[in-house]
Amino acid sequence: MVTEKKERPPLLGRSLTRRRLLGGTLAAGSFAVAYAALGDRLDLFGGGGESAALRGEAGALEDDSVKISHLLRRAGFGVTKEEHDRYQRLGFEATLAELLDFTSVADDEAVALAEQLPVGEGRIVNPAPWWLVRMANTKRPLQEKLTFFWHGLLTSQLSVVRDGNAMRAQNELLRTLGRASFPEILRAISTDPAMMVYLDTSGSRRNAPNENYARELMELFSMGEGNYGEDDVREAARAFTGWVVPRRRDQNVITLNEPLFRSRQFDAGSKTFLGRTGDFRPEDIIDIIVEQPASARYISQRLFSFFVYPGPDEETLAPFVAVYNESDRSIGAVVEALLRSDVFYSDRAYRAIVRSPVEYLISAVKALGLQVDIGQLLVGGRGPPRRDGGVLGAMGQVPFEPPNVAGWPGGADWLNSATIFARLNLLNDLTGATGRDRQGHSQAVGGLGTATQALDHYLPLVLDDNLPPEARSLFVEFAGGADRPLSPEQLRDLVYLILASPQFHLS
Amino acid sequence: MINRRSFLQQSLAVVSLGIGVPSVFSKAVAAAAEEKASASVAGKTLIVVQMAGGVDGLNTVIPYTDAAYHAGRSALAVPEADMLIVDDRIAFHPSLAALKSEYDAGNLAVIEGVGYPQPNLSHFKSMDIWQSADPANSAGEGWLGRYFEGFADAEGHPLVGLSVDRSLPSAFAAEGASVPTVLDVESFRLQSARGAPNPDPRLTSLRKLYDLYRPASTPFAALLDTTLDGAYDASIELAAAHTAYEPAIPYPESSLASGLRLLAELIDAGGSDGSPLRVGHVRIGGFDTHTDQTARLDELLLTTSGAIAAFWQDIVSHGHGEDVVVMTWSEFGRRVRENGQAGTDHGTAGPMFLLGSSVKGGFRGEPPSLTDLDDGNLRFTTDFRSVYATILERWLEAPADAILGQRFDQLDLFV
Repeated sequence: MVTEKKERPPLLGRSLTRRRLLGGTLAAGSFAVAYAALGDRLDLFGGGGESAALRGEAGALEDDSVKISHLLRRAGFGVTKEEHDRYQRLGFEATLAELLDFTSVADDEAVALAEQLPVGEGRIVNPAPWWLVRMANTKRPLQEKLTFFWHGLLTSQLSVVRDGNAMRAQNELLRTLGRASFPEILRAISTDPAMMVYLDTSGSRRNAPNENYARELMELFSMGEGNYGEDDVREAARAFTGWVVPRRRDQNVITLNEPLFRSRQFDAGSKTFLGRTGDFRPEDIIDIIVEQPASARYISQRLFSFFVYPGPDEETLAPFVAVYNESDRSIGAVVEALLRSDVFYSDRAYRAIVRSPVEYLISAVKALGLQVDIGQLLVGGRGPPRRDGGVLGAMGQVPFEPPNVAGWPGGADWLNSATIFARLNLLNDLTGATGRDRQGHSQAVGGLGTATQALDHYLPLVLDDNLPPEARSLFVEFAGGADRPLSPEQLRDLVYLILASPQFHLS
Repeated sequence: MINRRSFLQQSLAVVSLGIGVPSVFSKAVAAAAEEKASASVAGKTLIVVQMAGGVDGLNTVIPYTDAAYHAGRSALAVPEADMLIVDDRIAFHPSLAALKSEYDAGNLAVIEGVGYPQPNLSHFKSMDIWQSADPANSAGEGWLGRYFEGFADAEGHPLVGLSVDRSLPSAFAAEGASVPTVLDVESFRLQSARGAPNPDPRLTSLRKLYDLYRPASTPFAALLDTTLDGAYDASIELAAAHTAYEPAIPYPESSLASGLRLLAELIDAGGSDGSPLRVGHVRIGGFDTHTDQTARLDELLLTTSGAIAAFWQDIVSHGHGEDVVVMTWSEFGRRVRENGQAGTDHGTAGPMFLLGSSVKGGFRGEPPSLTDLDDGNLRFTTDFRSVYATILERWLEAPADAILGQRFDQLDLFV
């Protein structure tokens, strides 16, 4: 590991603009500011190199092995031991190529595993376990990660839509179109039945248009607040009138059918939207939106913040906005440019993203080799998934149930007193400490006889083998010595401690 | 080991050294805090109830004799026979019977037409504006965070503030204060391995690991350490308070009611010394009633009113009626004219409730006109920061000017 201190990462170096940069992009903005400030403070104290514990992590990504793990965290959901070893053998370039060219990788196994799951009974079929099984087992990590990105951006809530199959169909749509052009994705989501019900385009009529979708389309999906006026909201809402999603209710099970267009309820009149005038229809509204420079910046910034680090400055973002503009607004082109960029492998990007609860869960499950059992772990084989989302609810992220139309705020917002306990308790559960009737856990942590063996197995797998030397000593001390045989309980607790490390919260 | 207290002091130092680019507020707060070292008022507690999504104020506090109300609400006007008549101008929504009783007893103030200049109709922007109390920099610190930072954390108690929610409200966000948020007291516990000794060596090692992680490059390391320490301290306090508490009356079944009950436990935990809790925050969502408003609002207001009233009776029964005030807020009201789907779209000004034995009951502020509108929306008559300023000065005894960054007129809200 390189310990020499390199030049300060650009974001922390420009303290005068940090508030502006972070504040506008993170919901927990002032947290980010506060902790960025604390980071600086610690930097001041640690910069002289007096203490190894205070040294930076600069240079970690110069190591190809760390680069591969970093890439697999960002372009996927972490790895199993087998996957880790395989990708490490493949090397960085081949790994990146395989991730990007995911359509040529067969994913039948993960699809089949997900289909085997009991979907649950009752009023609402919950597709969350189905998706989690796919995330944990997919051979196309980037495809699933992009689906996860879109689910957080063009989002809907199952509890409002109330048709789990329609939510699953929305998820498939986002998976299919994940790398398409941005206008194509926006057009598709605008006529997605779950979205039309969620944001009330279904039933919006010419005499009193519902503004819900028009507003969120611009504010949250495509441009950001401040780039349009209230008049634009009203005019766009007129263009989204005339649609109805028929709803069938059979013994309290709701089924959404394909949207119908009722021309008499459509406001066909002239509209003035973002400075243009015409008899606009929904596709025209989307065309006008994507022509706005604010839209190119917005989607590039969202992708950058999701894959690289939150809140890039204009200068850092500019090349990716250019890629977007020069590629017919192709999302795939921007994603590839991000994953190939220097900034993606810069010190500033290393461990700079807080793992969302879903990522935390899937990464832990895969590291422990429990990925095949994850469906069973979540639904327990005992009826429908819990409405509160169980462990994911406690950590703050239930798939298909974002807190609101803005999706999950993410970043520092994932880490608070309630969620940090939930995360650590999840690990306690997964490493088998609570001894529920779940199989595989003790097996997962078994087969490793000593602390040295356990550390050699897990540290490269989950922590890039990159942690303060004192932490390694602490693990050994906790185990009672490097080469002493461990009891199953000691091994279980040691594995818990490794996964519970602060670095494992970060991607 | 950097403990929580010194950690917070360090972060305050960051602010006052100017390393962290403090906002004008932080500077003012830091300066005022130096003059008034331990200003927190023992025993006084503010409970903030967020009604998220934008409450339809006009169907909550109903101007039922105004023809413009009926003109705009042909589908949604509340039938006069159902509403709870206050006087010849105003009635409460039928679901607010429990709060109406408190109004009749003189414990409830209703502030009408509350909003701010140049209203923003985005949920998220407007929530940020209400929580930061700073329309110009709404992504900055929260107004209560600035209060904690400068005036409420003098003793370093882990529970001067508590949010009952999945995430911390941005009203509590601050550069130099870390406030816990919990979902419920039962799950707010760091599990030990089965059969672990007490104290658990695994837990001791875990906390050391978080202390050790101090890279210069990720500020999240510091967040992780302070969060784990703060959560651990708070969980011990909360568990003790929970075990010791018997509510005086049954609470309704709702997460809002459970949240308020948890805050009641903490208020009672201080015993004769008074509660450590200065500000508690709970939230009920779902008020974004673009469609099918009537049934949804009926239920939401019933849940809100029932939970607040139960909490209040419990607080009074435990002898804390003089020490607690409840304030409600929502990011905006809704459009005067209903939409075509029996719903209402985003609007502007709305009413706030303030409940407490120390509150001067009745109506405050100017009723907004339903005919002199701004693009179909109500013109606000009272700035929400006047309400905050009054509560800060008169209830929490903190300098409102420093916390809010400018002077706002105070209202006549307390006896």
